[in-house]
This record gives sequence, structure tokens and C-alpha cells, in this order.
Amino acid sequence: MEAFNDLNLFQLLVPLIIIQFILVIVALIDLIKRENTLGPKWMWTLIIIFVTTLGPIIYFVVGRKHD
Amino acid sequence: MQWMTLFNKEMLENWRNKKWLWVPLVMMIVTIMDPISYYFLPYILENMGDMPDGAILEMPAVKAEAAFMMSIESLSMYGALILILIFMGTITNERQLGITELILAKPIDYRNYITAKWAAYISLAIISLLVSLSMSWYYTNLLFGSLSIQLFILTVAFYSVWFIFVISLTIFFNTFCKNAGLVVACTIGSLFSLSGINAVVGYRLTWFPNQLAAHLNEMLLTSEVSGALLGTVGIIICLILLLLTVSIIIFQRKELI
Repeated sequence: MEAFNDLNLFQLLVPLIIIQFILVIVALIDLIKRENTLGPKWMWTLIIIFVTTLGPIIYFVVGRKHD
Repeated sequence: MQWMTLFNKEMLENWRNKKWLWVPLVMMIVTIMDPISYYFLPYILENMGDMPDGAILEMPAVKAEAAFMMSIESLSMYGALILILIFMGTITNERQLGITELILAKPIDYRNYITAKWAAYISLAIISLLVSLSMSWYYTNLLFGSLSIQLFILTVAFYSVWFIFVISLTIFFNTFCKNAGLVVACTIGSLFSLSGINAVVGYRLTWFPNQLAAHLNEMLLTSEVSGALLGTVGIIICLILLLLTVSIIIFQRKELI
């Protein structure tokens, strides 16, 4: 754990947080543009924002309806 | 020419579906989660666990190779699952929506139709694999010590064969299953049976497809490409070709009926 002092906890976790943030943004943009979703849109908004990582994935896999 | 048109159609569709964005992102999270959480485990336990005063926690030191293998293992599970999920409805949904009839009303070779889909998804899978393992490699070098670039490239190359196998298996079930759920169930079922067989008699079958991860682990530790690894990869490539051929044959028969 010597390296632990040199490396900032913040520095290590920032890429992970950025990735998750992009994922949420992409999912939300898709949700706004889409006309048909499986279930109400407000429900998906909540799922995407509050269920970390898994929320956007679930939306991408099952939430979208084919036009 | 025709093949390129179909391939471009798939690529465009995957882009519009935003698969090109979310699949690499999710794969990245999957690969780097394990090494990072292992690295922070002592810290987390110290701060959150109910440890009695003076408890000494000795974590076994993890080598760079082992940390990199953690990423491979989580990819084997979650990465494969994501691939199956994004690929599940590619033919069945098109069939249900009538798109297949629309496309196949034109004089299109069935071989082109299947292989163009296959190739489009493989490019997506391999680029996601490359991006996510690069992230994992970066973290491994940062946290656990160095791992040579040759080993990294070899791992990506050999492991992508496994991803291609998973995609071929999914397209195989896509050709005859009625709906996407069934495709997922069949694919996961066969992957499970494969790993079940591997657990029981795998030690005697050195070239069994599921032995790939074990051989890769060995390669990372010894820095040598063993004959068993090449044999396993050879077997998997044969299986991929077989699955593709059978898929095309089934698809042709099914459309004629």
C-alpha cells in the first residue's frame, strides 16, 4: 500500500465516474428523442439517474421500443 | 458490393441505436471495477467494516498478471452477457417486424445477409474489448505493476476469438428461435452447459473451448504462447466456422418454407 499515498483516491476514481456520467447522459438523450418507450418516460428517467450503471443498461436493452 | 451495403446498414443501425457508445462504456466499467475494488479492499474494510481494534489485515499481494486476469474473468461473465443481450433480437426482431421480408424481397444472397450482420457485431465487440482492456491495462500498470505490451496485445487477440464465438452462437440461435427471449435462454444455456462440461472433464480436454481463460492465465504468467493455447484457439475458430455455415443453411431452409 505504499503507492496508496502517492496516488490520489480522487484521481483513480475520476475516470470511472466520468464513464458512468457519460453513460447516463447518452441514455437520457436517447430517452428524450425517442417517441415510444416501454412504460412511462418519467419512470425511465428515474431508473437511469438513480440506478447506477445498471439503470442505463436496462434502459438500452429493454426500455426502447422499435419504431 | 452487396455485402458492403448490408454491412453499412448494420453499422448505421448500431450507431443510431447508440450501441457504439454504450457497449464500450459498459465494458470499460465491467473490466476496471474488479481490479479497482480489489485495490481498495483493505481501505474499504478499514473504514466501513466493524473491525475490532488492532485487527491486522494481510491481503495477499496481487501481481499485475492476476489483476489483469480479473478483468478477463469479469468480461467472460458480464461482457458475454452484454454481447448476447445486444445481439439477441438482430434477426428475430427483424423477422417479427417484417424487415427481413423487405430486405430479402430483393435478390440478396443469404450468406451476405448473415455474414454482414456477424461482421458488424464483431467489429463492435472487438473495439469494445480493445478499449476496455486498454483501460484495465492502464489501471493494472498504475496499481499492480507493469505488464508488457506484447502480452496485452496477445491477450486481446486471443480473447477476441472467444467473443466471436459467443456472437456466432447467438446468431446460430437467432436463425431458428421465434423470439429474442428464447435466443438469450438458448445461448446462455449452451454457454452454461459448456462450462459445466469443462468443470467436470475439462482437465482431460486441454483443447476444450472453455479452457481458453486458463491457457491465457498461463500465458500471462510464463510469457509464452503454449501449444495448448493455440490448439484451443484453433478449435474455437473451427466451431465459429461450423456455427456460421449451419446458421446460413438453416436460414435458407427457413425462408424457403
